[in-house]
Amino acid sequence: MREKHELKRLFGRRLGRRDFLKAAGGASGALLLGGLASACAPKATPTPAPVTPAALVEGATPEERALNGIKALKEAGKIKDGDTFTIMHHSGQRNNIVPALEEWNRLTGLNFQSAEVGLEADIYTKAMNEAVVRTGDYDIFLTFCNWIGDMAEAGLIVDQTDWWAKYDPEIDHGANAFVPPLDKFTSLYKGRRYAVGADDDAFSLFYRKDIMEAADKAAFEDKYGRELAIPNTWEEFDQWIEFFDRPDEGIRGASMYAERYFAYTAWAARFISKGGAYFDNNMDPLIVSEEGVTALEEQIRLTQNHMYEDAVTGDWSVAYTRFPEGSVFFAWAWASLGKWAQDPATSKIAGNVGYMECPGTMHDGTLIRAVPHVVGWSFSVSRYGKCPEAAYCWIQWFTGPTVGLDAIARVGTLDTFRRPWFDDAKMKEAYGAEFMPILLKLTENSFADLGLRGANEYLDKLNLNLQQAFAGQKGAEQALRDTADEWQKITDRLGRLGQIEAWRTERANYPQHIQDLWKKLGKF
Amino acid sequence: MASRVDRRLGGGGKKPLFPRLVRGIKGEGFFRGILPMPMQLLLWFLLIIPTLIVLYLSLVAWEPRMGTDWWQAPFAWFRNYGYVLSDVRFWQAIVRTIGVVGVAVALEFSIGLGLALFFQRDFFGKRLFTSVILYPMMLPWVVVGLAFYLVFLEKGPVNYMLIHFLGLKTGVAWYHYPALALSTIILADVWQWTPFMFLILYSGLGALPRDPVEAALTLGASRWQIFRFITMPMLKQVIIIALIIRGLEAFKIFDLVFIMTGGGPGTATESISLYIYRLGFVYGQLSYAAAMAVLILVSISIITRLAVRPLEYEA
Repeated sequence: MREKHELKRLFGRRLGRRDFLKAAGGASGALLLGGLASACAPKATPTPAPVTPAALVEGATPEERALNGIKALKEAGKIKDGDTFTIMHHSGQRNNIVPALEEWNRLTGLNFQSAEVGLEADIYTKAMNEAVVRTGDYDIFLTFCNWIGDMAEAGLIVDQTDWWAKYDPEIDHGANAFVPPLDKFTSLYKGRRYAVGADDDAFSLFYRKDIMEAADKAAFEDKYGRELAIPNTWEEFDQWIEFFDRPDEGIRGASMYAERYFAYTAWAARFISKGGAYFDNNMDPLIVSEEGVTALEEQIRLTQNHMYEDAVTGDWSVAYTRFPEGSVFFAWAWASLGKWAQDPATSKIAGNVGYMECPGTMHDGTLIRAVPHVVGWSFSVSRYGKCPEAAYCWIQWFTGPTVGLDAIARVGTLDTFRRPWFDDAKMKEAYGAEFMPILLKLTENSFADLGLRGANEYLDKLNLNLQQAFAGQKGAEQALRDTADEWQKITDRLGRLGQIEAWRTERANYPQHIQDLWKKLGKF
Repeated sequence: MASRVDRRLGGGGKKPLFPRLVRGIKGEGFFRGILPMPMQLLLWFLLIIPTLIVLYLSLVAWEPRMGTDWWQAPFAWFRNYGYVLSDVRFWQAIVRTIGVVGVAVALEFSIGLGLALFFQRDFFGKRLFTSVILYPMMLPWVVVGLAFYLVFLEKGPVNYMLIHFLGLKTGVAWYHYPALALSTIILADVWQWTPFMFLILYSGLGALPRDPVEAALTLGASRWQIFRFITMPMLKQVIIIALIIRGLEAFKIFDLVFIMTGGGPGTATESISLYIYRLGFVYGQLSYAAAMAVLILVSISIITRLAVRPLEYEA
């Protein structure tokens, strides 16, 4: 009570809740109206996307042209020495990017700096936040390829198509080109170039060569009626894993993701190789189909019978623990697992790692392989940065055939992507000479994650239901049906017409043999 | 002689130009209005404006990837709220969160009260043990989450003990089954927040007057009778406050779930905060997430209001 009297004495009368709310409401209303009024006023024009391309900038290599571009921008007064540009990227890429920044800053007199983000998912959040608040704090984003759709639709990143024509990054043509289809799906959205790929995340397959060589070949032949060999089809693969699953010896058959974030990977590989497609021409899901359900049933059997339970409950790091410690016969993950497994410092099985192509499905005598390209990083340019064209020049320089080779060969989460690099001694040393031709084939057969607007949401709903199926909480068909229902809602909410346009262009980024199969099966 | 300023302000016998203004400036009212203004402005910016924006967002159909600004988004009015109320995952998350809060807070209260009663007596090392007991509460959520995640891994220490001391053939897949996964989260929460209950109840018990207890002892009351009919009623207000604070805090549980299970398998351990986070920051459905947040805020406010009512009656 004393406090109340004190207030009354100070304010003359009691400051009631109603008075306070009235005053607060009035003031905040005024502020809100002011904010709305300023918001409705004509916006400051964002840095426009590049218009008609000028003549190709001079220079023998992409790197030279990028440096000449910076000179021209300086001469035009668009940038000056010491200007600061900021690149948002994941901390795992520090070793790839930071040493290159020092060199670039020395060559150009500009001040490019790195802004690391520790958690991959935070990059998406921060990027989309920038789309709303437009601080201009970031000039370049290094994000997952399949976020390009969201970032482009949010107006955050610049269409680079004309810069590609002007500076020619040598990505989709020439001796230095990216391995197709990396040249398409790492950069394209609705047919326009919104990013430059900087990574190859075709899922790679590793097995224990020593166990395979020491195996009882006759027993395998007796059991399955064929010689023991690296499997070519998914059916052979399942038998192979079953044969090498030895829980009594502390070695399970496989480590394949069935967890919350990457549960779709193995299912998608089977599904696409069987001729499946995520959507039809009208964005109606096609996953509740024979291909989809069979693929999931096969993968559930494998998961529940021949894997540790942490395949379902763990995270991406499980494969990076299980395989190098020698507790699984087979693992599939990103190419970097190869580096880990063959390094004696991080692996107990160094020297015993075998590499293989992804199994596929036979269609009229033709083996169709489909390798999921899981996430993958690409560079995009912020519309709200200081000079988007200068930012693009850095990207072209960094991913160029010579600079990029050095940068990617350093230990980091970016993996090789230009065709000649697969034959380069540095890369062979980093990944293992035996692995490089396999990785090349895996990449050539790879298809990208869904890259539509809302890709994160589509994939999350899929993962959620698949994980429930792998954990035995749902049947295969139910899991896919629930996913399809969710997908329909997302598509309707985000606008079916726009999604149809994006899906039709995205489909063209699949490897040609998969597109041919779809045509043959009458899908498209 | 009255100065020029005095005259302009109404002094010096002349009639002022703006009598009400001058009275306002000269009187206490002026300062009454001005002095609290910085704090009021801070409050508006920190609390009211964001709340109004969240309310506004909940009434429109907007996502950042739509390419329009949020103030240009079309009004959906109460459609988002309708979607929330018909969202099965929302209700599952609510029920699950309430379950976790109920079990965790009940355990924390029981253990905390037991410890607080035990620590009422003197024993060797009491001050040291009091500090040690409070230690988990000082740890960041993320550290506790990570530690417990590792403890319950397939090759973690819990499974090691189960295999070596209880003779199980294989370890338990704690994160594979929804009930087990939820129990690990509850255990982590109990471990971290029992000290909070202990701290409040211990302080409350220490502040209780000794006279009623001594009188009861003189009259021959047993320890249980003293606890049941004297200590607990006198401690009631402290208990209600402790339960409300801990209940509200536990309802927002996010970090432990995010780190230990990610809400999985599937959505089996997803809390309401994690679901709202996913909607807003993974799916980008900010309007929908805002509607959900508003509904939660309103519900929690009503529940809290009802919970503190007994305190008001007693006051």
